[in-house]
Amino acid sequence: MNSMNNKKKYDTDTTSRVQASLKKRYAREKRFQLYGRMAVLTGFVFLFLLLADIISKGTPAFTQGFIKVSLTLDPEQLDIQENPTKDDLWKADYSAVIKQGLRDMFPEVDGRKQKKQLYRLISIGAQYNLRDYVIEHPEAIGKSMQIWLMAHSEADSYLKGQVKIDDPEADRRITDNQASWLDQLREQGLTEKRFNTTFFTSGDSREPELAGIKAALFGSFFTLLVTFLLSFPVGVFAAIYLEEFAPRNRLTDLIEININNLAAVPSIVFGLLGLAVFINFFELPRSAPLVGGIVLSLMTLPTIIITSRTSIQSVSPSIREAALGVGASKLQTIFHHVLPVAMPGVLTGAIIGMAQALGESAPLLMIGMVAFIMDVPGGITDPSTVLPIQVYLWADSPERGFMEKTSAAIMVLMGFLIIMNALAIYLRKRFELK
Amino acid sequence: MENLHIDQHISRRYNEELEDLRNKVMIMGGMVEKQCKNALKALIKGDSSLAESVATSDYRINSLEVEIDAECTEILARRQPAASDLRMILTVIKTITDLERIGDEAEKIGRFALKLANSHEPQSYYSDLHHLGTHVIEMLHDSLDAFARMDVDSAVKVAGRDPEIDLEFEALTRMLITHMMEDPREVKNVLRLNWCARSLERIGDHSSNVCEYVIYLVKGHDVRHISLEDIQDTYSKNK
Amino acid sequence: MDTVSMRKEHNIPGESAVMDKQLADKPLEGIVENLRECDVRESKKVHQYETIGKPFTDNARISARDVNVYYGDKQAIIDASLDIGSNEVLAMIGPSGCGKSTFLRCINRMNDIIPICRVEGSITLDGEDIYGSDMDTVLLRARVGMVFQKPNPFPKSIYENVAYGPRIHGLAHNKAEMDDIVEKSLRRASLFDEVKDQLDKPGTGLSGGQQQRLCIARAIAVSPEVILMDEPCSALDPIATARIEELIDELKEKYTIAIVTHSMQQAARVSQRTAYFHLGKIIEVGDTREIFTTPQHELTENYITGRFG
Repeated sequence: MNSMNNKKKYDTDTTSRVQASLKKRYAREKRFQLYGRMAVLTGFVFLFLLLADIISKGTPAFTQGFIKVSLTLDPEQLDIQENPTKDDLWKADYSAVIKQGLRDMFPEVDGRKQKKQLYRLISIGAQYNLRDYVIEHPEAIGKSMQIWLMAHSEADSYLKGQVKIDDPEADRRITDNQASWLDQLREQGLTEKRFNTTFFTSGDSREPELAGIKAALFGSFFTLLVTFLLSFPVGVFAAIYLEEFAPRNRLTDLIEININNLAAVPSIVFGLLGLAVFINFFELPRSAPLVGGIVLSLMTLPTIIITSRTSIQSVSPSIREAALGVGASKLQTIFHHVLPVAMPGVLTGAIIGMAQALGESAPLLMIGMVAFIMDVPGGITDPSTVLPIQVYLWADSPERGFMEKTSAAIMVLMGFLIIMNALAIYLRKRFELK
Repeated sequence: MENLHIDQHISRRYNEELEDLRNKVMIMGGMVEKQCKNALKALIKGDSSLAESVATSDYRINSLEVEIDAECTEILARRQPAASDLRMILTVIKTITDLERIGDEAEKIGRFALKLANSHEPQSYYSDLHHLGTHVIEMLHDSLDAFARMDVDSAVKVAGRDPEIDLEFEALTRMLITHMMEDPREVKNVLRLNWCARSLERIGDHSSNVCEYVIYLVKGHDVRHISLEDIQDTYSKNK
Repeated sequence: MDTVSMRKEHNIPGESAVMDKQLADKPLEGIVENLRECDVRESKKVHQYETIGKPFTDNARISARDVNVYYGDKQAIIDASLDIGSNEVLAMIGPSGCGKSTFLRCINRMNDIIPICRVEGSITLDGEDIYGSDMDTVLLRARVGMVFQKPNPFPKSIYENVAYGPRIHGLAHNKAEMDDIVEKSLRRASLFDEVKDQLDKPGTGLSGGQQQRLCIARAIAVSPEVILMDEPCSALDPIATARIEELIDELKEKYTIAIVTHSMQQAARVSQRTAYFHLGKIIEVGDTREIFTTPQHELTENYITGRFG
């Protein structure tokens, strides 16, 4: 009986002591949670601001202004004879026709300077659109017609409301005249915004409204292809060798240290290597995805090796033992049992490495993928550029039109990164469920 | 083996349980021994009150047997004893059976003593009976002693005394038969005496059994139904 | 000085049982001439013991002679000699860390994957030296299967788990044969009825006892001659354990089985012969019945009755 009372006394002592400290502990935890939430919130706020900035700047790039021009396909102006061949049509002077049409639309325009301003409402590339139309519909020659033509990027930017009318004229790219003509056209319903397919269908160009990222997209694609084909097999097999076969001695320790350090080497060093060895020594074509891919694969190799090794290490040894116990050879154990289990981690590492490579620009600058590439590359030895570098080039250009295109390109780049990361997560989930 | 390290289990409770078991057996042995002594005394001296107490005290031995059996069962179930511990439990179970029978035999002697108490006069054969009884009780005592000390040599020696007891019994029987023929009126009482002698001889057999169990416990060799010569050849140190 | 007084002088416990058994019926293997005072806590004294009992059998499947195993400088197994007979279950018992698992893993050369492990001595399977230069470990492991302590089915379907072994060894020529092998193995492991409708479900989705039976089915799918089991029931509940013990009893009709176990009662239940290991040495080998009722060596006795670890 006595001992029971003593026991109760002890319990209340402990309980009251614990209770006294409970308040403090909960308060401390709450504070900690609060800090965490605030940090996360801050992060989100900044992220949101960044995204908002990019998206707001880039979205206008996905639309292109068009102006409906009434013109006459006068064969004389076009400078073509009866029964023109395709070649003739190709060489015809369409810009004259367009200019005539514009003059007809604004008869009050007078004087060379003003006419020049008028002509600058329409994009230089519009004549090629007209050409393509005439080649397809040669029966239209001699007739009057109305046709939607691409607006010049300055006019386009005015139509999108990006120009501040209040600034003095000298600071603007749009003159007052141009502004008033565009207002007139808009009131008459002769302007339209269409989805900017040019952005995705053409390569780079001097004119902002004609510039697109197709060349850069293909360049990135080919580069990444080379990178993946080189770094993934080499990286995974190197990881397998280092993890399963290599003896544990000083040499392998050295190799491991070196691989870990390579992952931290500044990427531009790889560019120098590519320049010195691949371009100068092996004389591979400069600015080609082949060289870019090789350089980038050198860069992602350490990442892939390290993540693959970690995944392989994390495979439980009991699976290896089970496989060996049934009579599997070492290679069979690795490829039938260890690698499938390690695959989620390996793939995740590979995709993250690829995503990193996609966004790399410094080493590629060194090997010359910074040239102005208009044509879409057809293979891995054609000169090309990649998306990040395209972003850099556009950001560097003075034309206002390129500003929105820069942001749009960044959006496309980010879109790809998100897709690749989503792919990584999906693949990992799929392999884990098995 | 001089002792079997009964007390060295990792589980202290187990040690205590086995110790407790052995003590109970020794207590039972002591009780049985006392019963036999009292029964013999009552028979020889004609003490009817002692004889009565012997005859009515057997229940205590029986209840002790039941108690020890229950404890053995519990140890078997809970501890799954192996090797020497297993042999110990089996030995205890068998020993208490024999002890209980000895108690029964003592009770029988007590009842006969009660009947004979008033009607006897000191006869010559009473001293032989006393002699036989003393030997038997000595044998019982020594066998219990061998069990307590787990002494194989002693057990072998004690078991070796059983043939002598048998011979003494046969001699006594012959004498009693002669007396029956000489004095037919005393046949009933003499027969009772003969039965008492048989009980004593049986007590000797049971004591010998206990010795065999001790040999099994220590050596692991089941020597029941093996001839005494073979046992002595195998286990005697006097060679 | 005769042995009796010598014993008295040194007051050596435990050996009189041995000496007297000598005088009894069967002759001892390894005569105990040089017994010294044995403090079981001093491992170096263990070197002077000889294996008592019947380590060798007539129709041995596996014969080990003078096996010594070293992990770097530390010696894990000392002069072990033991036979495992055909169609019998041999249990290996002993305190933790005394070499039972090490010895077991030598038999199918699983110790090869540990670089610092060195095995000396001879182990033969049906007369062929396991460690000989012409013995292919892959083939050896097909003939000597292993079931591990923690059930480790492959993260594949149940069918694939059982079919993997036969597939890599080329034991089935077409799907029908493979189906047959899988079904037979699962039946022999008493698992077929429970899983026959879910052969394509992952093996890791089964309960612990079922997983272990799956591992047993996997081991017997390659038709081994010997099955080694390293504490197969230690991770299972009593009912699953009982079923596996029952299974072992059935399996011994067809296979030779060596089982390492921490549970003495299990060893007593499933095996015909038992070997007691202590600090890397095989102290005593004999019929299970005798080991558990009348062990000859004091160390064996002490371990079995729970007198020390």
